[in-house]
Amino acid sequence: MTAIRKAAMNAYESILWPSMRDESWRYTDTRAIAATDFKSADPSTVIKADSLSPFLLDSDMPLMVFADGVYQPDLSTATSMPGVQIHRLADVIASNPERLEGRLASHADYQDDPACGLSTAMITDGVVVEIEAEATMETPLHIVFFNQGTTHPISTHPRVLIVANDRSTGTVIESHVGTSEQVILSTPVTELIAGDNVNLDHYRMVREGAATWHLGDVALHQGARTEVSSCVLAFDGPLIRTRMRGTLAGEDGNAILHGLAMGHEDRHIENLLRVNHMVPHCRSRESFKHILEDKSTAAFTGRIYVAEGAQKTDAVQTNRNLLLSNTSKATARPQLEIYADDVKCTHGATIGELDQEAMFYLQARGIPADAARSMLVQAFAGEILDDVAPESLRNQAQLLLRNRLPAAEHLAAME
Amino acid sequence: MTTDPNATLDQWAEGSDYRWGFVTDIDADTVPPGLDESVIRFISAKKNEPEWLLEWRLKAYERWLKMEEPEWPHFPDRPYGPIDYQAISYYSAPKSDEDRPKSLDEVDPKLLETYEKLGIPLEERAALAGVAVDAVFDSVSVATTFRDKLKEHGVIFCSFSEAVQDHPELVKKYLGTVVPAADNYFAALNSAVFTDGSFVYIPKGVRCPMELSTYFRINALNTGQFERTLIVADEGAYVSYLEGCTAPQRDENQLHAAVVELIAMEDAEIKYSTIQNWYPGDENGVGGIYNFVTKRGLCEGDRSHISWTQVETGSAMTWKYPSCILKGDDSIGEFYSVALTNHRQQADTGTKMVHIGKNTRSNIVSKGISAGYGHNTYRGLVNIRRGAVNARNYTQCDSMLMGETCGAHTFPVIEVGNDTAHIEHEASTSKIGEDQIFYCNQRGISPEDAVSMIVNGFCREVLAELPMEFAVEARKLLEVSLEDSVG
Repeated sequence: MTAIRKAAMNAYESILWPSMRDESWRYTDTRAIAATDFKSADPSTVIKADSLSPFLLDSDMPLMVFADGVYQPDLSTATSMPGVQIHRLADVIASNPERLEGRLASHADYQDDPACGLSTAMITDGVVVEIEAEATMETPLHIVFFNQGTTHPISTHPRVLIVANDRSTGTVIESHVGTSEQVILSTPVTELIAGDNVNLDHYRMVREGAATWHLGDVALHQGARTEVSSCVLAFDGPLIRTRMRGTLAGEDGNAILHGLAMGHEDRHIENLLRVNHMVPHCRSRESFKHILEDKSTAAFTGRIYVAEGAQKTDAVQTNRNLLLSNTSKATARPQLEIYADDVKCTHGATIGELDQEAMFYLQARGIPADAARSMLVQAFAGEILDDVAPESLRNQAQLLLRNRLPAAEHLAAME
Repeated sequence: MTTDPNATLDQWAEGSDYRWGFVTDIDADTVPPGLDESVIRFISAKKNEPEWLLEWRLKAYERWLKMEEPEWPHFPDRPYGPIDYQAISYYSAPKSDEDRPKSLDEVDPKLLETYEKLGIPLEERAALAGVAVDAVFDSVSVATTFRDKLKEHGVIFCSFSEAVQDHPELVKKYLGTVVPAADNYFAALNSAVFTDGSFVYIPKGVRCPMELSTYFRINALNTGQFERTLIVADEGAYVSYLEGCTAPQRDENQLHAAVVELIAMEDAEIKYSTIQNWYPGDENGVGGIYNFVTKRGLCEGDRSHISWTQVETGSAMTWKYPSCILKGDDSIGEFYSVALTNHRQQADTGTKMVHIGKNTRSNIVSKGISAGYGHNTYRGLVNIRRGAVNARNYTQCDSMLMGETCGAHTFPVIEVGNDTAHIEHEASTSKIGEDQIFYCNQRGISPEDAVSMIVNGFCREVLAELPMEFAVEARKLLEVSLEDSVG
């Protein structure tokens, strides 16, 4: 553990916060972050159940709750169940750290990213989930990282490690939420490690407070014949940057990486994606959608990497941006890096306004312009939201989306 | 597809040695290798340049000294050998510089012979194809044809040095306006030491009566070529310009850092076609040309139109991004490219389309073919500025891989700052299917011919943009370049 922390600290100190001249930070301005003096959260931080309730999903979902990175035993209901071990990371570090060896910080690359470097150097607490071989998680685990901050800026480094052993199945949902206006830096890092024949779904909902910078990481590592999905739903926060990295290390693996982000006011959304096809016969599907209003901006960088020998790779990457105002701005960098010849790789990116013909079609049928526009935006988002399997999460996301669109009552009435 | 099987066979039979690798022995007036201010002063003095141009060169040199050399290739199969800029000789001219040939008869017969071998019989080709050739042989133009006919129309087509002497006001007005002297490392170097190139000016409302063409050729050992091309199409003018390159076989890496600037005024159209076939090095990656070129066009006026078409089969390493700045309203930028890499070649090419004016449109079609240990990269930018209402872009980049050791990469960047923009980007990667080859074999077509047919079909959209005689040459080049890659 100490070695990892030290290495990560060294990495962080050697990079620090890069300027916008750095290729991977070209579209994210970190000057404000670099200039802020963050402190750690008070370890006695507690939150009330009331402040949490708007962010909860099904009442029977096992919960793990953290406030500013501090574990909330009174609000957490999750316990280990047959075949599924759920622990606080701090406990595992204290009692048997050897269980983390070769797992924790082994896939989220902290060498070349200051946010991940800082997060890894400052690992204190979080959640460790281990699904045993052949086991199935009956209900999804819901992990809530609630950020409330205090009078001085704080930084929090939530950490999740999910290990799914051979032939297991499970779902984990993370919510990164907050309502406060205090300055907070959150650098959540989640690592998913799937053995062979695993079916694992991961969701991350981001609804941060008005002054919470969210610089997150999701790293997936898949064995043979696995199907692993990860979906990031970004709704609130002045800066939401997610680095997602999937590695297909066993044959016949299938990775599904999705993202939906909604930007308004002067928010900035950035998704950086990399999928590594290391072995033959793997498949990956990446779809990222951005809806931008007001002066919001979004940047997408996606790379499909196909290693030498990873024949029969089948990878499809799309990034679609919907500009709803003439002051919003979108950037797309869909990249392919291919070293094998017998592969099928495509990427597509579109940036544009709503289809005027579709608008006309709806308006010609008596639907007011506002409602028509909202319907089309909903349909646009639907391609991502429809694939969100946990119903309560899907409903929450749909409601968030709808409430932000004009003529929400009209839409609700039509359903 | 009408491939003449005999012609193709002959090409296969010649083996994989570079077909056009030979050296003409002419006593070149070369400065010793090395670069400092005195070399720049020497070049400028040798060319009898005005003071302002010398100052411009020196300023570029000053900036260049402070710049960092880019080194982005990351492919292990052919590490980027650092260029020793002090080992390059920056000036080389055929000896008879003081007494320039006035007509073809006066041209050194040996030079003409070289052109014959290259397949460009100057006078014949010019006459038959209606092409005026401004042949650049080792940095200085030695022959220019059809000058009179062009003069009739008011078209200025001459070497850059001549333009500096005869039309200094035009050169001064436009030089460096599209590619500033310190635009990038290689453009700055070019600005400091460029020796010659072509200058074209098409006056208002004139449709250039013939296709203009320049053949570049690297000849003297260790001489980097620093060409400078400037084409200005005034209001309502039209010009189609062809640029083709072949180079003799060399074992040392040679640097080619050219700059091309295009300026299209209101309603003007410039079509710029390139076939690049510099020596690519042998199959082990020894030798070959470094082709680091800056090409940029400015659609200055409303409804102007710039179109780049390129076929890149040569060079050990190519970094080239012909770009369009769509400043005028309703202006159009186009980029059609075929890049083929075989053996240990690397091609990193693409375009930048910067939409500034209203209703601007751009179209990008890029086809990359990789074989052997070749690496092909598309790197491009589509940038829509806030004021570019109703901008449209369509980008398609397709890659074809032949063999297990090559690579195909795509790095597009799309930046959109206006919600009325419609941007589409599509990319795909594929290989030549065994079933496709089998289908052809079954019908008595050899695997080689099948590959050449499939490749030509893959590139059809781009080849169709080339002027006729160029398209023929391009097809042949693709076939020759793909030798030994079937299997």
